[in-house]
Amino acid sequence: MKQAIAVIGIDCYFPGASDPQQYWRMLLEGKVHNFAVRDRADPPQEHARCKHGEATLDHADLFNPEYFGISSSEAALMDPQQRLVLMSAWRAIEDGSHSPRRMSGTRTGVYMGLMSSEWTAWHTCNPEFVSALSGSGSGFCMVANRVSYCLNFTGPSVAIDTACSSSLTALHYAYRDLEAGECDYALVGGVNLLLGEGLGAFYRAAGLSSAGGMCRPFTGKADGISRSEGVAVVFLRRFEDAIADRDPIYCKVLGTAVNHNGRANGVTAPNRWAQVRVMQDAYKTAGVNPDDISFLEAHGTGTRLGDLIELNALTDVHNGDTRSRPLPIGSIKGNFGHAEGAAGIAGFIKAALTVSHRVLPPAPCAEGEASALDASKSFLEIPKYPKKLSEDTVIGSVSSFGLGGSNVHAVLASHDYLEKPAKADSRSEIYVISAPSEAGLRETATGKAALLSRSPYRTSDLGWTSRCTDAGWQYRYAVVGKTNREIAGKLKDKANDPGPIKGGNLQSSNIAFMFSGQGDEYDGMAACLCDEWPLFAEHHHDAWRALGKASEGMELTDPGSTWSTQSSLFAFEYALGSGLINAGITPGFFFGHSLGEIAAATLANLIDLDTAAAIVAGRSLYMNKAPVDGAMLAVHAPYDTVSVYLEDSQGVSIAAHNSPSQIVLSGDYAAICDIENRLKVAGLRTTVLRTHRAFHSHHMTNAASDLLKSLGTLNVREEKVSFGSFPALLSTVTGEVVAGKLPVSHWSDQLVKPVLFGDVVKLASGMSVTHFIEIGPRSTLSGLVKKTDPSATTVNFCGSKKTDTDSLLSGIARLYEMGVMPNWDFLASGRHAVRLHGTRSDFFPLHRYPLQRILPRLETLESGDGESQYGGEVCQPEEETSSFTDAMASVPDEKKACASGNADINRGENPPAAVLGILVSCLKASSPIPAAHIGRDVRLSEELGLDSVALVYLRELLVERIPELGGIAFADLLPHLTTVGECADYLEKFLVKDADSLTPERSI
Amino acid sequence: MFKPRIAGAGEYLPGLPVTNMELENCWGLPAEWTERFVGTKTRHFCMDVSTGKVIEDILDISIEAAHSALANAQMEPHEVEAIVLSTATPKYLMPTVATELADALGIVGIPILQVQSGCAGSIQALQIASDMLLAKRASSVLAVGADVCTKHYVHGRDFSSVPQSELVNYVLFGDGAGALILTDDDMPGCRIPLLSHRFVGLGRPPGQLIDWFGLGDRLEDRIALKEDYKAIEKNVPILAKEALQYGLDCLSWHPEDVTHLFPPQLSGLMTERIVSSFGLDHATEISCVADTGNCGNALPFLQICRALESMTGGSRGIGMAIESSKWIQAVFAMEVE
Repeated sequence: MKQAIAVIGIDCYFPGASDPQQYWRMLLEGKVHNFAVRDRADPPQEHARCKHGEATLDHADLFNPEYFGISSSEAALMDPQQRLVLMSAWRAIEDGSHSPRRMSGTRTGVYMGLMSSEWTAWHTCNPEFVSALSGSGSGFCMVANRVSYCLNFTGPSVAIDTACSSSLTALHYAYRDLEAGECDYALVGGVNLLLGEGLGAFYRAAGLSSAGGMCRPFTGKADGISRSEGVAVVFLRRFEDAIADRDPIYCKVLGTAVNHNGRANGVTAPNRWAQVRVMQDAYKTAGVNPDDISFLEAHGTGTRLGDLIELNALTDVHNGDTRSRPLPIGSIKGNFGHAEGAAGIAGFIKAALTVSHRVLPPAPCAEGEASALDASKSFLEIPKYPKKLSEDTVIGSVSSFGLGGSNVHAVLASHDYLEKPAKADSRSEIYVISAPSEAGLRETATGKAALLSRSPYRTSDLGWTSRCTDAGWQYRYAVVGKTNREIAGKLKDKANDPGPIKGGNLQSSNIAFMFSGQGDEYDGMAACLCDEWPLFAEHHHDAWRALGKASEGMELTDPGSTWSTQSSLFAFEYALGSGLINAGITPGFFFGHSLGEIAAATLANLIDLDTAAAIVAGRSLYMNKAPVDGAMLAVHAPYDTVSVYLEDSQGVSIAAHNSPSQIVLSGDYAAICDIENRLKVAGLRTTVLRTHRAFHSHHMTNAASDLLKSLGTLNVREEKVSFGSFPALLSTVTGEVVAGKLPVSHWSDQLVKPVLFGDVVKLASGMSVTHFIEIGPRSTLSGLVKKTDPSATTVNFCGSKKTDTDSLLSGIARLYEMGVMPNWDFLASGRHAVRLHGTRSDFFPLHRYPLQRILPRLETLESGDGESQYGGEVCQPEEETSSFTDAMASVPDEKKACASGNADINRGENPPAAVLGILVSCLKASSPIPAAHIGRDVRLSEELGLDSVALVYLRELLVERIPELGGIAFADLLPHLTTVGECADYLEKFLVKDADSLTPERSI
Repeated sequence: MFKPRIAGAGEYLPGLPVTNMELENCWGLPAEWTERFVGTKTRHFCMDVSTGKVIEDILDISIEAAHSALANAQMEPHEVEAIVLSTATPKYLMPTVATELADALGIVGIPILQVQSGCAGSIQALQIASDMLLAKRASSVLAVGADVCTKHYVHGRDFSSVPQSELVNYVLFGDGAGALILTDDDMPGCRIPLLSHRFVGLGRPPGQLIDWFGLGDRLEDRIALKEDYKAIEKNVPILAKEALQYGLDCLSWHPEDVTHLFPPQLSGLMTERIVSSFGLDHATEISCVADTGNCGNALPFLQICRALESMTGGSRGIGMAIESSKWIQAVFAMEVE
């Protein structure tokens, strides 16, 4: 028996059912789509493409170009079949609890069945109207290739046409490729849009078309085919891979088979013997017997001949069955007609849902059964009501037979998870959503909040699934909560908050980790994190092991010893920093406050863990021996103010420059007291620090030399492994970037020298660090950073009192919103979270993304005879009515100038502004990225995402809008298509050249 | 002795809690009176009290509770092999809420029952479920208890003319649904060692009456809801105490073995009185009526849901539902090994 393939995600959109949940409901209720039977003479209404005997999709013109990096203009020139398949593929992947964007680069195969592309026929018949974009918007291959391109899939990418059996044939080849290892994931589907009369006319001419306008398979009233639109995609993996990753599984595919009729009674005639053989082959491949099959989804087109031949074939196969009950058969074509390119996948999804729910839907056949069924009564039946399927393993199969004689059969089986996941625990969870625009994020958040507040699923499962499927778009929300209601409430609050959403586009170089110094420690600070986060616990353990080794034989437990403080802080920082880096949160820079610099240097790979432990142990030991008649004083004033008082003081020095307005003094007790009084008198605010030792002062001189001596015997790593591969260390000892080896004296010097914290923060900010993450158990450093750089963003993991699960998760959530993409695995490790289907047929579907209406360009439809199908709509960017357009900041004058043809910009008086305006407007029409502001230094390819085809299109637009360009060759224009400014300058030259011949109010 | 396992539990209370103050503002019923004489603080309604608009119905809330229980049990709808639902306030006489619930869950081909009773109906439903498991008619049963009062609510009514015996119903009752999934497997967890109910109303006039109206008599001006509070105050504590004793005897438990107590949930005050008469001060009381309102058949399910969070190995809980319509005494128990 072949290896099974798992169906992990399903998406479909058919007349009367816009998602799998509605699809299943339609099937259970035996609904027949209400065909709008209209007189052909009626003038076509806006968007009313429904004709006699045709079941159409209500919203085939809605699309979300941003999700795929496609500009609205390009989208308007794409075959809508391509657009529908893109969206369906996206949703199928999410339904399988994977993230489409994070699957980029995977060997995912795309196999799409189609039977026609009436769009291509319309758009390529008049060469005058063919452009680069309309070319790539047409054709069969692009329905599959476009998916592979947009989502960056490198597996096989094929469009398959075997007429009616196309999409099930696609399944067959996907199955084989998955099994053979040609790809690791597969998207299989089909699409069909009725944009022309051709196939309908063919059916009529061939006598296949239903006069009543409906498919009625296996009934007495069957009289032929009616056409239907639809799109569907299923997401497949090898079964063992799906199990290993704990993917949600709908069912298994056990085997498939294909064949051709050979030379039968006519090229379009079905062949009984071929149908028998393809079924038998499929059963053999799947390792099942005919009487193992609990139900069969037939091809069932509702043509008299076709139905009869199929019934005969079914009888042949199941003749001699030892089955005790007849085999139920049905055909989805009875619900909405023949979906042609999508027919095979429609039947497959019906079978998959049947097997998954273990309920057999009825066949909508109020008309009475075909007489042919009487003959085979003992073997076949048409279920009239939904039936419970009680077998332990439900096995079903699907047939699809193409008009050209290409046949395919597939066998499916139910899958039951043997082990139920562990019971829910009431832990906090992070729930995430993202979208490519602010408006999209708010809409999605509101929609999801409404569903979450009533969702019966465990919070841990919903949270985990949200993190698995998240696409990591720029605009993000991450909320932390223990219950679904709590999460829903927070999402709603965020969506309703009118403040702007910054959007995350953080680079590593914008992030710095800052490690705390002494004074921030407290009992039990690491306990919660150790429980919650296995990797943290592991690193914490490693640190303590090193510390234990380093401190062997040392007397460190004297009262007043700083050993417990220093060691516990170091271990905490080492574990937290390592944990975050392992979780995929990598900074560009490290720095630490005093003691913190040790962990910083360790993680920057400048010293190893054992060395670091030795430094910590040594420090504690020798600092312990320092005099206990010291004191330290924090002063809330700038250095310049305080230094005046220091001039007269002996025995006091600066211990730390924490910020431009915060200094710490250190020294002899008496001297400190004295200066404290003088500063108080001067009205300056001071705080005595709770310590008897004057750290970072001359009191530490002996300790420093002792430390230097003891460390001298160590093998301190002198060379960095390779610069650039680790974040850089900014030293608060030297106030500079550490660009070379760290001598041992660095650590001894540190004991006496002041902590140049404020200077390092300034240095970091100057190097474009905007986000400072506190690697410590409190939020002390966060406060200090803000005093030096008020615009800085700080993140810490300390709640109101201490680090706990909620504060850890809140910190991670904030980082995510800022643009960091953690490896979410680290949070679910050790837990039993389950991944959920995005659109469960029985429970609530997760919100579908907001879409915008894409209307086709009229000029490309004027070719050819016959009425335009779209009633004369012209694609104007400003007529798109969705909230996405509102969210995109636009410059009204420029847009008007481009699209409407009226020149509001006076080119004669101000050519540079005019040219820039035109250029920006054209760029907005051709760029897939909605840029709120296109400045002169914006790069066309790297930042606006224009690829070669889009650049060619840009040239076309520019030539249209700036006639002075004449017939400029693309090769001449290309070198100047670098930045907006350069391009504008180049174009301006053409205007200036013709300045003399310009009239002021010339229209564009 | 057969003890079905509670494989999953769920509940659903519609909308937000409605306070006594809100009722005073909307209906003119003095909040102070409610606090003092009834003891209920909040309740939930399927409708918007300020406008009377019905937002959900008994089917909607039953679906939510069932979904919740299924998710809690980590079970799929197709694994449910029977459904029993108890209510005194069905949406239609036919079809039953239970069958419409099955439809909504996508279930077909299994036995479905609806029990009509007051609060004791919940225990009756659970007992039927247990018996089905014992008789091997099913290996997992979904039991649901739900009640709503929207059919008897007349928006804009002048409450000053309403007699007190009817008035108290408006602050006492609330809407809600609860669900349990019982199974006959031997996995570890919480089990039900006792489910028993009996009619004790021979010769006693009904303590509670809910009338219903059909096409022929819907315009008649009859009192729709009637409670005999004197009779209730007198009889319920006695019957409850009797039920407790009976239950302990059946189980051969001593009073000190009891760790959790599920007293009858009539109103905040009544429950308090009954509990103090039991002398089981060491037991954790599981009551919710002061916050959830009296939602009839849902109440024991709500109590069980809440108890599951705190019951650990060795816990033993006993509870009773005393229905004052025509006097039904029901008792149940829960234990964790």
